[in-house]
Amino acid sequence: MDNSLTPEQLDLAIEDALRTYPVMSIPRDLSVDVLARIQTVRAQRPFRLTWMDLTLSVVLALCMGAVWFSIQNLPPLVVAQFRKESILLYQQILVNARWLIPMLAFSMAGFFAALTIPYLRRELRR
Amino acid sequence: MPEPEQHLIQRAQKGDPEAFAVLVAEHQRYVYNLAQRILQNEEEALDLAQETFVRAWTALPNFRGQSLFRTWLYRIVTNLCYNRLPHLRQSLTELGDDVIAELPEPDTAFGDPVYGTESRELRSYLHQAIDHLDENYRLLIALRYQNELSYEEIATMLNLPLGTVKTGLFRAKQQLRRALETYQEPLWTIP
Repeated sequence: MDNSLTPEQLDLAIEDALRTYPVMSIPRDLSVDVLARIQTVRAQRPFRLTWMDLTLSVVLALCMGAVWFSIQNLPPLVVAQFRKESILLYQQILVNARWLIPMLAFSMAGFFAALTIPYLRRELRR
Repeated sequence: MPEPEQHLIQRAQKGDPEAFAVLVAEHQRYVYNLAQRILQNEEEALDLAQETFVRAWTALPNFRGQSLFRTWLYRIVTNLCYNRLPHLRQSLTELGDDVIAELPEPDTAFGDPVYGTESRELRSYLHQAIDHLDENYRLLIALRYQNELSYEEIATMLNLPLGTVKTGLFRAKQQLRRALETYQEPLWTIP
């Protein structure tokens, strides 16, 4: 008596073995190890350009373009007048309020430094 | 009621490690299994599975949900395996895509009562034969039959043509068939 498998049974046996090929159980829970390791890994901050960023950029670019275009097209007499007035104002500040220019510089530096405080606080809290 | 995976992913993306721990607990078995089936070394597989989750955490903010989370994890596993087994990627691409027809995939299991005990032995023998296949075939088999991905998903994940995936699985089955033919000579044929 020949008990050898027919080609169809061979295919069935292979398919059955593939479908019942066992999924191995994990020897230990990885959650704890993974959590310990990710505490030291800083998650990458994704680069995200929002619509708000895009709108602000366009508005700023348009403003700068408008200022530049206006300056380029001012009549020479107005430009000369403007330069004269600004030189006079600068001289007046130098004479009457010498402290104003360094104070403005320090105030601006302080303002920009303060802008980073929320970000730094968030980073420290992580 | 367990929290939906999508919510857990969103929480983990915002930096919640507890949500990520739930995801790890849910997927670790299949991630480990895939690594183990390819590497065939328990310690290396555990190390790779752990590395997979650490990388997933790092890259999680970039996960857009275009594929399933588990498929994304399997891709990381495969990439890490490529690093450890440099010839794996090449052996996969060298499979070609010359197979047009596929072996049929019958719905019915091999549970004919006529074969009873023998079918269990045969199944066990075939499982061993699967373990002895080359790692490229083991990878394809694990993805198809254990992780239950479709041919298309496997092809996308491994960045291979669909035909190559089908060819690989076809050839794996051919090798199993050859192994089975040599096996049944002494045991299945009663003179």
